[in-house]
Amino acid sequence: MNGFAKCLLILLIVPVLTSCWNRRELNVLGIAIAIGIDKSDGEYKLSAQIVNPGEISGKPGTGGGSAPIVTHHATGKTIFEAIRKLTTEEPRRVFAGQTRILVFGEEFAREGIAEAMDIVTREPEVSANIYMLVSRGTTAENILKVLTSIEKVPALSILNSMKASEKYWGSIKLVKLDDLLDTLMTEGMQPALPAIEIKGDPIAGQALDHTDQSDLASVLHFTGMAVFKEDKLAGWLEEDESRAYRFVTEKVKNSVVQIPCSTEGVTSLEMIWTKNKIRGYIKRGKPYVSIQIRGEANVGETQCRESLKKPETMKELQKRTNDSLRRVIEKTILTVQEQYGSDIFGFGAEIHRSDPKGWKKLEEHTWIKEFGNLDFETHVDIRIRHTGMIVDPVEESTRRTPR
Amino acid sequence: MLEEEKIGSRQLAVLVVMFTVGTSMLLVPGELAAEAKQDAWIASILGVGLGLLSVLLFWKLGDRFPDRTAAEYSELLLGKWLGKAMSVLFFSFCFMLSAVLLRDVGEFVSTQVLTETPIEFVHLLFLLIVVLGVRLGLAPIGRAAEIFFPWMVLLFLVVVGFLWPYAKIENLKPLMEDGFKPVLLGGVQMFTLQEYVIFLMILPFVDNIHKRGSAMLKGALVGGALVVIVTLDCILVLGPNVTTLYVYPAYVLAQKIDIGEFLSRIQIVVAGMWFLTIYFKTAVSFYASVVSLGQTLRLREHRTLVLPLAAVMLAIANIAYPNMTYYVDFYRNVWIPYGLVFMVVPPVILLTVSYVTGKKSPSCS
Repeated sequence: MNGFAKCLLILLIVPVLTSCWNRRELNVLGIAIAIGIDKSDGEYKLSAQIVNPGEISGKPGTGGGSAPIVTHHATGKTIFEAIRKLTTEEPRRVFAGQTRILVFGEEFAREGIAEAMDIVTREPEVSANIYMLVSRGTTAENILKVLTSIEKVPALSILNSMKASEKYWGSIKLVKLDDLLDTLMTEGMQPALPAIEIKGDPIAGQALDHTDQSDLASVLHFTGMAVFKEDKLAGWLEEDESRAYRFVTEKVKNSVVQIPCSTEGVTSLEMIWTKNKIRGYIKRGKPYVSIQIRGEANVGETQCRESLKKPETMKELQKRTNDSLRRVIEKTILTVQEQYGSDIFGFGAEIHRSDPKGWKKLEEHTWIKEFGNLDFETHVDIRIRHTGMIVDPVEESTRRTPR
Repeated sequence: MLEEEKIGSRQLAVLVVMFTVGTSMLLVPGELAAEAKQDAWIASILGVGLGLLSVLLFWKLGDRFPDRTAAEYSELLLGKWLGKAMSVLFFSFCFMLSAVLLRDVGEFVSTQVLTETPIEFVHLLFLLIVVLGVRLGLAPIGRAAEIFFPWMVLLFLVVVGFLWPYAKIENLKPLMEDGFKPVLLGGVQMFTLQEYVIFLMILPFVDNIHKRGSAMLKGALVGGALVVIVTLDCILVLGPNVTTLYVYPAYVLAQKIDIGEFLSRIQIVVAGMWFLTIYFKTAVSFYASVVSLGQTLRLREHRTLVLPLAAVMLAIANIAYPNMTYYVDFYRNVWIPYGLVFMVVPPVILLTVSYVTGKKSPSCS
């Protein structure tokens, strides 16, 4: 065989080796960027937000002026059934490989989300990096229908605003599929998912022309965390409580807290970083945890009258910060303990880790019951570092001039 | 001697590394976590330790017959009929292992990666390159392993490095909560997945008699370390419960990697690494089964056996397990005792007989 024949043979073999048994081109896939699960009449109601590729291509004039996404719905006894049934109204096969968020409807979440976890874990197409959230005061379906303006694809808008509010506002904690699985399966730990609601008119938000306005008729917004007891939605944490939840459960990179001044007004502190340290053990048959939070903060804005140039004022502010944070955290833990009886902080898991022998003795009772008896102490140690471009409050300086 | 070409001791070491990582990387973390929960990594260290002990045993046994394979010296030691029976046992172990490994590849590809491709095609394609390698002989397989080894290590380091930010050290606690027993059971399970006994058929084809034992030991140590790191990573990143839940936790582990929304969905890197290693594991065990059958039947040219055996292997792989449940059950209730017995009993019998009768290869001084 000469060189030419060899080359030809190799070239002929190449197309056979691509192993495209079942190729799926982009134009035959309906890319579901977000999926919502609700319950209606005892059946699952699945909503899928499907990208309309022609409308998000970015080039002006390419779109036909229709909405960047379409939502489709189907019901079924299982979620799998419902997903496949979507093809009865969606012309393309629904592809879940790019799904970024999964929204549980409030009603559905109250009945338990564990059932829904099976398919998202079992299905190889779904990535483990999918973010989970709960709709508040509305169904998942309605959440997925709201159109957004700057980021055309609502699911991506939700995702980015979720990440931004985690990073700069600190009111929610992102939860991915495998985090949720781990929490559901670990003893002494219960899940909490970010809660999303519609601010404004939910119906108006579905029309494309609503995104033509500068003040949107309806927007999606995060309210804090949803508390679960086992796999059932038990209630909500408001923003302050959610922030306290984050301080207790993880390292927070950036967040904002409001500290009242000694007389009137409020100081806003930008928390640069906080670190949490939890020690749990069984003390005389009762579960006990000590929570230590350290961190640094900058002065973001102040309405206080005192001059921040004085070391005593700074010390005083620091003390008030620590006290006020401690109170919020204690209040949050007590609320969760008494109202929801669900250990979203993972105190039980911490006791299990630090005091396995003591934990074994508890196990005759279930931790859910035991969590109500939990005693805790909180130490907060926040150091205030920078004050921005000025030190003294502007207000104080302006008041001084007329004299 | 049937084989004209020999492999070097470094190639042997690399082959042993590939052999160790082969099945273990994807399957071990889940199995061990099911047994020992957060202590799975300790169990994996124990498993590696047991593997090293078995390598020492095979080293000793091999050194008494430096230029003979297990099939040859079992006849020398046990007499014609018992010896032949032993060789057939060896052959059946190597051959079953090759078929099961082929099925492992098929099972993984058809459930996780190409879900709609028939498993038979995956088997066929994979078997083709295995046959190609085995027909060419051990030396090309060894050289190929040497070429691919740096790539495997590179991919491994990339994956492990990118997983570092996701590690939660508290997942390891509490240590040894239920005592040592689950850890021990896990360690034994992992041991049965490292079928080093096959290298008794490979050792005479290594050129340097004095270095081959330590090369095998080094390979088992490096490969074992890689498996321990993967297991540790699974526990650190996914936690013991989620690791247990998935069939291939290491694959899910790689799905976690998401650096700046840009470097993500690189789980196929883990799969690629696994294909590389399991290829060499399958090729080595298939080679061992061809040689052992050829020697049992005293064939002058054992290469003629490759194609017929491959055809049988394809059939066995296709019917090996009807479904995943059977697979998990087979592994736990059949493979573990089978492997455990086969990897320990025959070599110990052979070694004892060799010591008692004083029989060893004449060329060994």
